[in-house]
Amino acid sequence: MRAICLIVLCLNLLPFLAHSAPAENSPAETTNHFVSLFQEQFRCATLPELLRPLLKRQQGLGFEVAFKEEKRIQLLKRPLHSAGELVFLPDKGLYRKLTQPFRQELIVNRDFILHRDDDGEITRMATDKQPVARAFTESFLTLFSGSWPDLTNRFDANFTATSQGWQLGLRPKLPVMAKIISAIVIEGQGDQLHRLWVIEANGDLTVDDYLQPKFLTPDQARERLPLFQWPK
Amino acid sequence: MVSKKGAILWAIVVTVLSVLAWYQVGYHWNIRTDILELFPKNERDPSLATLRQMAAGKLGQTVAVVVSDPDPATAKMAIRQLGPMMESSGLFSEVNWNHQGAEKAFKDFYWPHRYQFVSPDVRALLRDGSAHTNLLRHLERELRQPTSPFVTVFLKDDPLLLFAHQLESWNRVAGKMGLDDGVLGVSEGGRFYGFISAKLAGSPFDEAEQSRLEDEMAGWQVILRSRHPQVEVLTTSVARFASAARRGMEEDMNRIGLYSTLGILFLVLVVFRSVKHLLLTLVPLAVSIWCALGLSLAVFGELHALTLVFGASLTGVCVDYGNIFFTHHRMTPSWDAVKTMRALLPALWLAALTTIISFAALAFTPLAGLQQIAFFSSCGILLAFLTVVFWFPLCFRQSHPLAAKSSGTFRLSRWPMEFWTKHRTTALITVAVALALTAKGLINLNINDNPTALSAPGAALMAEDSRIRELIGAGQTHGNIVVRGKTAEEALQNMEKLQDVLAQAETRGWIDPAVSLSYFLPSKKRQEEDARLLSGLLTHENEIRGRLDALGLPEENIQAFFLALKQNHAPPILPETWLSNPVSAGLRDLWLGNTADGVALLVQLRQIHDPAKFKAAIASLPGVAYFNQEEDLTRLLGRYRVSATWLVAMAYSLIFVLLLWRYGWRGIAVIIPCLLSAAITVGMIGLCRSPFTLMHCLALLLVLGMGVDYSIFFAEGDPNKDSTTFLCIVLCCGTTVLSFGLLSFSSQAALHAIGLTTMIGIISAWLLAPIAIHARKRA
Repeated sequence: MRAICLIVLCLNLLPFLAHSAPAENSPAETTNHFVSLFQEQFRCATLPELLRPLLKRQQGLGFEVAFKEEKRIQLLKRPLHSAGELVFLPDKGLYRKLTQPFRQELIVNRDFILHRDDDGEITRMATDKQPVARAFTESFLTLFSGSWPDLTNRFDANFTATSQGWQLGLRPKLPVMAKIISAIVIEGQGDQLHRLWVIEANGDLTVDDYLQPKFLTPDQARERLPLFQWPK
Repeated sequence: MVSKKGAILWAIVVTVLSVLAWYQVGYHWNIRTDILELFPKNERDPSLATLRQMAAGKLGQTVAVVVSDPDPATAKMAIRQLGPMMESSGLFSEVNWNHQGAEKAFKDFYWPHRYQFVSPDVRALLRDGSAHTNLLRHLERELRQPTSPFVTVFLKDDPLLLFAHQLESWNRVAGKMGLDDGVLGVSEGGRFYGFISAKLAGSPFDEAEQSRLEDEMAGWQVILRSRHPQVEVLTTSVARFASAARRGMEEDMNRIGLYSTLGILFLVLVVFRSVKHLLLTLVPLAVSIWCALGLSLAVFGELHALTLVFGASLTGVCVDYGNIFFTHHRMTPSWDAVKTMRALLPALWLAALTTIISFAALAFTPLAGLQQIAFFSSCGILLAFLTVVFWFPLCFRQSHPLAAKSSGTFRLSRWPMEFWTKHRTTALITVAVALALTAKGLINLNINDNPTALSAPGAALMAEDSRIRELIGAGQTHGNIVVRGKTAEEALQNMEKLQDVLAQAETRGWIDPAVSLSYFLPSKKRQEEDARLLSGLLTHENEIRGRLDALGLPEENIQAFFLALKQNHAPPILPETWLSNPVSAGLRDLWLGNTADGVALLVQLRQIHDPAKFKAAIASLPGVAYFNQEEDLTRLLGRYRVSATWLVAMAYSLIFVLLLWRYGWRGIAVIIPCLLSAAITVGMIGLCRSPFTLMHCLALLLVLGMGVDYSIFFAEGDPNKDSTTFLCIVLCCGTTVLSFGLLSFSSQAALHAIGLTTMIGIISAWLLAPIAIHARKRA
């Protein structure tokens, strides 16, 4: 099955999808969790000092992290749980491997999305064909790139911090992205990432808990390269 | 014949023909510019040829416009400004720029049919019975992807994502561009390229239509750039290519016609030093071109621009007969016009006859444009010849004032003769070297039958066209398939059979995805089959229910899905409904419609990587015919080049027989210079590594027709009037080179081929013509 083609296709038909699923009240506005974060007073155009060490460490390097994901799709009676690991290399893109409840691998970079199922079948989809898909993957990659200018180019950023940690709220600037994603919130403490929230325009929510995030040394990054080298 | 009565009679004929020409030019002026119209129709399958023309006609009206800017929002804004301007111009019958409405129309049209029209992938799964497990597995995985927002919207009403799979199949054939905020576009190299396609309301070959399109496009570009300085507009259309070809031909016609006329007039002035000769030179020219134009329009109803350009170069031949008479006038102190004309008549008749034979031979080619040229030229030559014969003796009663003095041109004209007589060894060595080089050239001859070798558009135009093709994902080498059926249903079923083969060919890498209506308009039979296959899912109802429930899908949604599957009573998608719906916009060109044989559809192929295997795979399919205009024309032109070679050989043989009849075996000496000049011409083309095309081959007929005249003048020449004969020949050669030879500077590849061949051939014929003197010496 051409799973990734399907995703990209759906991205491409975004305006149609918007007809099917008009955005309801944004969870970011209804979830108590983020009401304060997205207030105007927390808008930030410049890089917050607290994030500086994290981005400084992240920039130019890769990182890897194990994650546990909970996806709350409004239509479904119960959330979907999964687990796996992410590897991000600035030159190669994002590698995402699901290990629970089944094995599934994904590579996302600026030019294409590659998908490998547990039966080994690989599907490739070039995103240059799909402007919306490209916008989505680029936005996604920007999240992990550690580049504040790139981030604020694509998102309106809000930032708050307490003794418990910090929250970076991102709302897409591109209208086509805003039709899909209402907001993304990254939570962390010091120079550690803890959690990623993806709040969708249709009310669905995804929460990724990051476990033991690790910045990669150049040698470690080299060791992870085979993850991005799939047979053609 | 040479009398006052004859002159009056000829004046009446010329007056009648002039009136006819005036009427034809005034009321039936119809000039075609499409170079492809010069080529023959497909005689094997006339209905297929008609369909090809229908396809070419429909596709030929398309105007593709790409608007780009580094900022996608600006590019989209420019598209939204240009689109309405194009719509309100009245130039187009259809302008596709706003795809907002089309998206909703797509959903509204196809969504109710999601249980009777599935994607090829899902159909394959349903056929092998593995659909339920694969679709459920796919769903479970999709929901856990970061990109899940794009599939969850279908979940409520289409839990197995059947419609989403259908969208995917459409997307795969949609080319490189995608929909972005209601605009069809693609981001590449830091720019966003938005696409507008439009259909010309009129013919792309209509001159007024072409001019309006170019003016409007230029105006719109200025407006867009004034609003968005970084905006760039690329455009391509058949109209633009045709316009460029027409402009090129017009410019060539004006330029070559002017230089040719000026050159000839200069030559006449230098040799005869008389305004009267100068003015009278123009008379046979005017009569021949004007009357031949009228006759050609009356016979063909239309003329190709190439015929006109070629006609303009007839000047070189038409002035020959006058020049021969003038030369005798110039060089004869004891002048008697009527007596001289009567003496010249055999040579003039023979020269005119051989030239007409060679031109008329063009009429036996199946190429429509060449038939026009043959008719135009033969008429023109005959008219010029008769004008000279009937009128000129009456215009020159007195001898030329400089008749007793030798001309400087005469001294020059003697040079080839002196070379042959005084430097025989050198001359023979030169000929031997030329023949050796010719042999080398013939071995290296690069025969090229591709039509692009005859019609090469400007590099800038080609680059723009290639860029647009690249952006929209259409390759340069593509073909088309016509699918036919007695009814629309049969045609659609035939196309579906073809589609299965196309899918296999795509999997094997023989072709890139083709654009076919099968993806969008299923036959009734296919819809019934899809509905039947989908109902097979009901046999796995419990398993599907269980897994959807495990995912957390509410019972009412699961219930609704199975109910919809069981009560699938949506009316079938019918061609007439589809054609009248906005969803078919941009795809209607593929519906060629009713023909004499039934209904025809078109499948567009983007790239064919393995033509041989692909053609073999579709060869036995019912109602399916593959065609590629370029390939077909290459094959046809190749065939006609071979035929033309035989034609050339036959024309040379015919003229040789005529010469044998006139001179006996001494006629060999008359034909040898022509044969050698033809061989040297082909050899030189090969030596220069220029492609040798059908046009080069046909131009050899001209080399024969005009070149043999020089040999005839030598053979027929009075030994006591060699100076006059030499001057005649140098004048004829000079005027021919000035007219036909100048065509080698034409931007039109076909004219260039004719010009180059004629120039080399005629100069060779002039240099070798003294060989023909042997025919005279032995007489």
